[in-house]
Amino acid sequence: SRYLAWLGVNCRVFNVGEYRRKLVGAKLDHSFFDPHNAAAVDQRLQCAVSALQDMLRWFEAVHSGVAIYDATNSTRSRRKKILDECTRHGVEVMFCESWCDDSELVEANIREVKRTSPDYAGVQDLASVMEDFRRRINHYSEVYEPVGGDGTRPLAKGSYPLPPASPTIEEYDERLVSYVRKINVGSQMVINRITSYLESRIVYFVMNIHIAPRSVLFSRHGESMYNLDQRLGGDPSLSPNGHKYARALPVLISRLLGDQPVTIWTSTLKRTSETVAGLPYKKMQWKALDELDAGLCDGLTYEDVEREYPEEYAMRDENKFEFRYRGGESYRDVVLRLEPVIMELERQQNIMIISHQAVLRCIYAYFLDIGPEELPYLKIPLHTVMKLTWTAYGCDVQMYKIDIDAVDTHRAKPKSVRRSARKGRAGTGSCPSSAPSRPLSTGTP
Amino acid sequence: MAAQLYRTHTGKLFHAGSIVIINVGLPARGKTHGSRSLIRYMNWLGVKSRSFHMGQYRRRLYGTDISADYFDLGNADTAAARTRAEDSCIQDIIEYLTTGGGQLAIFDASNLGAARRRHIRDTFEAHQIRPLFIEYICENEQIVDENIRKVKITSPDYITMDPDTAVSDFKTRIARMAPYYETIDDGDLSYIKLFNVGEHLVVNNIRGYLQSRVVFYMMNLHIAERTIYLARSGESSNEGSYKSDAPLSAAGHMYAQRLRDAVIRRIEERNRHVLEKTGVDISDRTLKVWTSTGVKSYQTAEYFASSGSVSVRKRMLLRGLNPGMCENLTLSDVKARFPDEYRSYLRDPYHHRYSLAESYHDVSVRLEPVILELERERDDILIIAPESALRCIYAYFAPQGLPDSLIPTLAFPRSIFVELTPTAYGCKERRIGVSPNGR
Repeated sequence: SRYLAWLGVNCRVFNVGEYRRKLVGAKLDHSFFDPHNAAAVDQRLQCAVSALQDMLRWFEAVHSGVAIYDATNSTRSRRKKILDECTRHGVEVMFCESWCDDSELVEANIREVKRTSPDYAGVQDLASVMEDFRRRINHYSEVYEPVGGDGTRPLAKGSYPLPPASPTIEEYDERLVSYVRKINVGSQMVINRITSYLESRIVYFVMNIHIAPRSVLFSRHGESMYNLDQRLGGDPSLSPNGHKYARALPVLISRLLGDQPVTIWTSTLKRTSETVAGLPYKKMQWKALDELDAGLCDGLTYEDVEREYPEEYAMRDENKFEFRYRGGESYRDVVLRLEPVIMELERQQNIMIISHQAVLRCIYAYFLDIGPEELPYLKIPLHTVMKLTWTAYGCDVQMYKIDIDAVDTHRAKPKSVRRSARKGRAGTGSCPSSAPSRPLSTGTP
Repeated sequence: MAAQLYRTHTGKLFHAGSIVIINVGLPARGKTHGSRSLIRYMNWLGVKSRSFHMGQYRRRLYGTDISADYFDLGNADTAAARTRAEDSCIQDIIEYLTTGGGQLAIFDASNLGAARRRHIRDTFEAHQIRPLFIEYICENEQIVDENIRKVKITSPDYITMDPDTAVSDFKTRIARMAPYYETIDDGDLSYIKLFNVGEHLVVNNIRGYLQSRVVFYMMNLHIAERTIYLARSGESSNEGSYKSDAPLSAAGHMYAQRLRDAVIRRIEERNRHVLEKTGVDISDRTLKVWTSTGVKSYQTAEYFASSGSVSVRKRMLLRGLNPGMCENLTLSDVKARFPDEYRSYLRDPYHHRYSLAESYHDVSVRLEPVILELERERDDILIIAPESALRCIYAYFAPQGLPDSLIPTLAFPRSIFVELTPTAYGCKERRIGVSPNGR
């Protein structure tokens, strides 16, 4: 959901566990999940239906988007119910199944993730948590029906029959349904009847993510000669303080990562490669990591811009995310061109990115789930390394500032925005207020 | 989604090493169509790729007039001949990937036997080439029949036969091979099983960036026919400048009107043609227009918005190449003022980046999502964009062997628009005039 939201797709997660926690509380032992516990089965169904109804109401409100109905959905009858309801409301369905029969992997998952789950908050005894959770899993296993059968696909002869208009549970054939199954965290995947580009992008994303522990580090280039002038863009070299930062980096990085290998990604602009000159790791350049293109304003100071393009200057403050410099880019454009970087980041192990203020704001916003209103105002100070670590329920960031002076290039959002009545240069800048170009279309607008 | 923009010291991209894709499947399952499409996509991304078709090796060694026993996989006498032909192909692939500068090769043969497949895998791995199997399975007899009719009977093997004989001869050939077909069953291998042209996929042990891109591409492939039109944006009031994003000039407006008329006329002509030939009325099909967010482009596209079954979509990714420091300069200006840059450009026009500018390769990389959506689309699409974007899109569909260095010089004058119809074995192309009086 973080990935889709970042790309500009309306996205919401409906977690049935949350609904259950609200209805009957969190401190339940495994017997609540026993399929023979009739009262509990009723309550659990109630939660599932409640979440489903909220989801359908959400679709009506947003008109186009992607909802993630997050639950175990382990039986055919449950899945059929969801499919029928969604089809009735004009919502397309794709099932995402995660399958693990590697017992070591399961044990490790239980240990790492469920220990921090709200269901076991405050319980000290790890062994009893593990035992209870294993019993919970056994209850589910009793009734589990994998999507589309047991994974083997009988070869049908001849052409496919048309699906019956409203199938009974016996006629319900999951071979006709869109689904993707990820097996043992990616060693095998089954992909069935993917019908749209958006679905294939989702599948590609699911294929590429992994849960192995790793770190991602970010930093801006060292202070540059243009930074000293408050000048935009260009391809300047580092200032003397910037060079000091470059010399100080190797020690900090080796402290943060120890012996672990790391690959360094920079932009194609001089100031980033100068910053990493002293680092002994593998390095790669990406044009996609170049700074936001200021178009006509490239090379000017902010004062120049205010003087020569007052209209632009004011418009930018009104909607900094959408505002596109004449002949240049907006934050939204940068988000679009960063998508391949993001995808590659998901695949990789340890990575350190040395890039620029606007670009890092976009990447940071992706990992910390920050929306477009806040994104352009994030504080990404010079001479600071940020380290991201993942947990299953979120992402932590730690900041490490190196004590070398640097100018502050952060400009806060103004309290009020004054637009002069006098028009500046004809048609300067562009700030589309209606339906900006979206990277992915989710159907009818 | 984009290729990484660096080359390693070996000249290969992605640090992915060399990959061989080994096709598996009975004839007429779409192996060659899938292979050619994949090669086209990979080359366009900058990964040097080639497909090696067993049929060609067989014809080269033994000619087209060979006994049917050759295809009888149980026949021990012809086994040696078959093996010799395959080994010759495999040797060429190894050479291409080790010393020939290639990074990805496709071994396009039936490869029906499991033991032989393992042997081939071992052979490649001994040369540090990573094998990826793609098995093409077709459960739908109709698709197989259509493949045979459309594709096989025009192959050199059957060119002298009458169609019905050719079809039955080919079906016999398949039937003789079928008993020896062992579907992939080995969990150690990296493989993709494709069912019914992308309807269902099973993906096993996919390692690495390049391999996962192959999977993504195969998910989006289909064999439905549709047409792609490429047209240039109208002339703006400030043609030399990229940054000014100027609107259409008066001449530009006139061009846009004439373009709209010419495209609609062409579509009506094709609809009539299809109606006559097959009796099917496709006049209610939607035309999708994709245009860039640049002013002159979407102004050109606006002339289509009023037509009935046309939808217009603006895409930032279709913008023209950003010339950076060459803003407002002609090529001779650049030559005079920046002779070093100019020389560097001449050496590799496709990859060269002027200061703060994009290269054509950057534009191609930027266009990848557009290309993938184009592959998926079953409706007809008209793309209205600046010439530099059209060059990169056209290069994707162009016949194999178009050198990179020619892409920056491809011409899309405003006197024509281009009609492309991708088919299994290539892309049909027409240039259609845009003028006041039609053709």
